[in-house]
Amino acid sequence: MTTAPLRGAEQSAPPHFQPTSARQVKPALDWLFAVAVLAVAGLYVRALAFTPPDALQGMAQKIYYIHIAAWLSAYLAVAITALMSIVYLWLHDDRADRLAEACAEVALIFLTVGLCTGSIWGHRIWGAWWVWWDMRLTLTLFLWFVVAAYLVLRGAIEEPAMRARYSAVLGILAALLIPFIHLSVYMFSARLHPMPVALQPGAPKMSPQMLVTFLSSFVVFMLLDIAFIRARYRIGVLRELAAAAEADGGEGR
Amino acid sequence: MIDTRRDMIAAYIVATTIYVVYSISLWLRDRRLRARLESTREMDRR
Repeated sequence: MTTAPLRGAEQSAPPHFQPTSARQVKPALDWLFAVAVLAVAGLYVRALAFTPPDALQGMAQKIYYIHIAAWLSAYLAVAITALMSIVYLWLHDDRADRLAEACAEVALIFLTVGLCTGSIWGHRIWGAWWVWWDMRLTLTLFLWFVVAAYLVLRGAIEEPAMRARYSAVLGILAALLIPFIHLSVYMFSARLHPMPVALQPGAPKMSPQMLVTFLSSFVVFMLLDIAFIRARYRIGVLRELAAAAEADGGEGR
Repeated sequence: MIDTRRDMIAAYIVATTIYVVYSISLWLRDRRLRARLESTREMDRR
């Protein structure tokens, strides 16, 4: 049997490695994932046992360490989706489309974590699970729906080039929301979200211990983000290999 | 200071559960696709 190379190989400008069997694709969850899991476990220990609680919010403030890191990881994944979408529209390289898809799926996971943890925090601190008039909340929910729509759209279109082209447009639009979400606390008076305490001009408004945990959480969840994206990309490669092998086998039989 | 320990624990459990479920889904998809490729190859050999 000759397994067909992944589609798009002939379109790509530079010649690149195209796996032709499952053995050439490394396991989805590899050493990077193991390192990320250990780092997350270490962060949990530091945040829960070795970082002091906030004087006003108490233990609920520790939700920040997973909530804000989840949002930043989601932003990174959405930004890569948009970047890869632009690369696909420009070069028609299928690897860019595959990476954009992987990033969008991982972004949805981090967005879901961000929404859930934020809601639990808001229930205790604001006294409400959700506040519709807070622009940051509404815009982040909108981003969740746009990313979900991106994945639904990909599932709905069978023709690969059309699927990649249409979803690339949606991927770019999703990233355009990020600056508005980030600046919404400055732009709109209708808000409950606090102003930035660490990522702001001037000295951070938190103790050094909290700041170290806070900044570590960004690094740790970015690592998990990259490990997830890499794993999801490899699954995309395997899926296309399986489809190509089945098509090839079907023609041969 | 208000007692918000339960909220903190709930948030950490929810976040961890989502990450664990997603990791398992990645692992299962990886395994299933490799098995599918292997069975296609077996059928072609026959």
